[in-house]
Amino acid sequence: MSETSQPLKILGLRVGGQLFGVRIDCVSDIMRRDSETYVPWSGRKIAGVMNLRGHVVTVIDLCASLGMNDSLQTRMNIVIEYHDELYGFLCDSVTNILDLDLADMAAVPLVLEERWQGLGEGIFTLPGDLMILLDTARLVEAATP
Amino acid sequence: MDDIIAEFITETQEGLNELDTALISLESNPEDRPLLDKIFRMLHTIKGTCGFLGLSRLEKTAHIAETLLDGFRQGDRKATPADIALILSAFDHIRSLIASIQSTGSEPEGDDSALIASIQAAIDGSVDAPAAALPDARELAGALPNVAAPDIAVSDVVAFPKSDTPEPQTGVAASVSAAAVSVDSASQFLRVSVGTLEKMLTLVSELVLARNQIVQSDRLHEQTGSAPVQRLSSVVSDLQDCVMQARMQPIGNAWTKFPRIIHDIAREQQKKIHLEMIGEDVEIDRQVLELIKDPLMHMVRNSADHGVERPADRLAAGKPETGTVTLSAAHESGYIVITIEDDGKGMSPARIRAKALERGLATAEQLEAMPDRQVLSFIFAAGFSTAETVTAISGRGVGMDVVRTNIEKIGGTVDLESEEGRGSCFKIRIPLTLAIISALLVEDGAQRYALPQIAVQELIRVAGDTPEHIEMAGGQPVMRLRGHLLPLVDLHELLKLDSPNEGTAQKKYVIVTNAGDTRYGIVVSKVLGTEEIVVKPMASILRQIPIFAGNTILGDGQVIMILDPAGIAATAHIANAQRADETAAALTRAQENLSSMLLFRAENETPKAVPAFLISRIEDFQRSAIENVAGKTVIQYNGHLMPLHSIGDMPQHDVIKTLVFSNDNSGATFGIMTDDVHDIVGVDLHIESNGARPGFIGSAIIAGQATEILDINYFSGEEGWKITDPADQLVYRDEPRRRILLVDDSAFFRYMLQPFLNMAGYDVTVTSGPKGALSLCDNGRDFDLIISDIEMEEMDGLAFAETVKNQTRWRHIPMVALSSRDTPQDREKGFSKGFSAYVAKSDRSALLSTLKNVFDDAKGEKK
Repeated sequence: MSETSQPLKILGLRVGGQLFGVRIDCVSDIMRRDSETYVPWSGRKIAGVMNLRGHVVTVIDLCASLGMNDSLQTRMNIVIEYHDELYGFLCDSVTNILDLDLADMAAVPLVLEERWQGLGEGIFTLPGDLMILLDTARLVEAATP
Repeated sequence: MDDIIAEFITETQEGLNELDTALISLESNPEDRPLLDKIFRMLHTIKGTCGFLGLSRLEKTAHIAETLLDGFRQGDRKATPADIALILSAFDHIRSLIASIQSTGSEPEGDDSALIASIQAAIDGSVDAPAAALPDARELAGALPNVAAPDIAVSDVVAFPKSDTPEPQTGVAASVSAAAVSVDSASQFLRVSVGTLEKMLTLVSELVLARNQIVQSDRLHEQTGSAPVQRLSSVVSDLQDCVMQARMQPIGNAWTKFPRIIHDIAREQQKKIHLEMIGEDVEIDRQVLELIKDPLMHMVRNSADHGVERPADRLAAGKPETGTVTLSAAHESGYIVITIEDDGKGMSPARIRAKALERGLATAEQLEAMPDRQVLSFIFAAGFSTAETVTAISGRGVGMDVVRTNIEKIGGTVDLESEEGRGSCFKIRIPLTLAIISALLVEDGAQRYALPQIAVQELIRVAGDTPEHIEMAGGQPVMRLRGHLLPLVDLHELLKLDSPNEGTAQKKYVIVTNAGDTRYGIVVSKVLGTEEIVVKPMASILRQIPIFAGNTILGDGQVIMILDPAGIAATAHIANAQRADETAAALTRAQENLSSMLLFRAENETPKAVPAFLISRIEDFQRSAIENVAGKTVIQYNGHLMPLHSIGDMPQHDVIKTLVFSNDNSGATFGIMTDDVHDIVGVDLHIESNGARPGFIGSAIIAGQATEILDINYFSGEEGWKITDPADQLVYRDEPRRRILLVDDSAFFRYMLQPFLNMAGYDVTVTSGPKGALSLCDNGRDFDLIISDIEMEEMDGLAFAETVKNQTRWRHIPMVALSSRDTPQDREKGFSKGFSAYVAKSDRSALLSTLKNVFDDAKGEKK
């Protein structure tokens, strides 16, 4: 891994108590969860679709995607742009924006649950917490029914 | 200046700029195959347009550059810097010609032979001395007028903010999304970028939402209809219409160039070609139109160039001298289907196999195993062409790969059918995902869905008290609609919604839908009305869900799914829809040869059948609800006691599937209990009456199995097709049974008449048509009387009677006509052909008395 410093802005979020992060540069909106339209046949990972200023956003349930227990507190929706399409990630809460350095990122340790292996870019050790940087592209692909 | 030329200039200038960049990057990566293909396609497009516009200098220049490029593509030579320089000089030459066309409106006089010769020299000397041509080229490039300055000036004028759509991949698309304002001041039209239109539409949708919210809050404050709000409302609606309309164009706009193209090809190749265009006014989304315009041009050109043969060849093949290329467009269940069909020589699977092998696209074994249809699809591979001669028009294998790329880019499909010697047909299906459509909004499970109005044929309310109702046949819901049997799909079940189904008793709606060749009904619990919707494509990760064609945002801001009738049909396995429809058709054709039989099991393993049209319902009765009253099995049904019959012992299931029959006249109903109902099939019924036991007319082979045909009369216990007057039945008791031959191509009547006449004491033989009857005659069979239908397909009853009376040993057998047409003229005609009597089909007692009279007369004559 390169030792040169590569500053990185990450949006922290929580799902089922665990701290995760997404790169802030792909985030287009952070909003309260709105009611989605359920899409039949779409599988558990897709919460539905919703309207964001005239664009259709496909909302992905992070809780289900990350294989965690159903959370009743999914109050926030982080909308990201991926391949010219908008995807929303439902999470419990949004924490803050973290200024980190890519050089400090470690690979997702194998001890972590297997289900997170493919979905995280890496892991950051923060004071008193661990944050898994989510790979949004993989999450979107993995939600494909 | 001509609009087309102005458009060509803008497009070409943009194309050339891209070509320059691409060529330069090719110089550093000469092995970059996709890049090479891209350059080739772009140049080909320019060349094609030049040819069409009659700009021969440009065309020649482009052609020679393309020939050189083709050498790289074929692998004959490597792209050397010298070659690139030559091609660039050709591009510069094209630029200077275009600049001149732009200022004068026509191609200038001049000679390009020096440039062409130098490139030709490079091509000819391809292997040994490619560099030899280089000095020439440099000299020539230097000698050309400096064209850079005017070009830059032009670019500045036409520059327009690039839309935020992704960078296009091909030259074809490039001319679409990179927008430019026409510099032609005489024109009242502006070229506006699709991105801008798209953005306008999004903004208008937003505006509509905001408007709706304002209207709502206005209502809450009880200031209903305040003037500014009303005004806002109507302006927004008008604006929405305007923006939507701006995106629609008749497809004919893309076709205007085609007649000329066909004309030119025909002239150049001494062919006679007629271009037929159907459906020019089909409105199509602007964006789609732009994207399919060039693919269509390629295909039309290919059809004329490769497809249609020369007049002499056509005559030799027994075809009319003039070949026809048919271009048609139509809406088909939410898709726009465009077909390009020619009656030319078609494609040779053998040649395509050979070419594919040569190109290394597949091994000989693979090709051998491939069906012809699959082999045909090789023509969509890049650089694939089976044309024997490379002409300026086509034949370099550019085109079909571009065609497919462009069509698939918008989510469409292109299919090819070709029969060697008969012609080829390309069928392009473009989904509605880019269009604005009228949709029927329905609701199920508290969620709304849109169904393209175009796919909706009719809407039927069904409830317990309506004439149409949902029935079950073989576990599949079906509905009888004007004699047609319509397979149904319950939306609620299809969508696998968790919420409880609102019950079959609840009133529902059946939306009769057409998906391609399949007709079926979608059962929904609520219909909300129609609305114009803006179709938005499904997110790419949801696109594989087959039952949705897209989604849309409604006026209240909610996103809803658009159902895809074709996808639903495929998913719900309306496999038998086609067959059911055939069955239904058979039923409606006034009960002709084909009869629709419902197959069921009862008593034993031998399948039983009964004509489907006799059944009014199929019910599931709880065994516990079945009662015994005075020795009769009955059930309470619609407030009455309905008798139930069983064939053999009563079925032992908890739920008994029961066929319910009702008499249209008397309203009396009865049920026949079954073990299982398993299918409805259309069959040509040949009932064998020998050895029939009570309750059955006889047996027939249905679906390869000996099947017993139920005799409803036996169970009905009522009048009708039943011998009620004992006198009728007993008349000939003391004499040998009279033999009657019944000739009727209607299975229905054969089915009804045979047992009826049997019971009247006659020995009845049935045949489905005059031919069968005449063969019985040839086989030495004899009858005492022939009853014949008049309206029959293979030979009408009059001709049959004439034949019998004039040409057979049956000439003395009395004949009775049975017809639904019963005017004095008809009767007169019948008698003149040799019928002894004429009876209306509906008059059963008249038939019996007529038979009696005829036999009595015959007896009298004998005496």
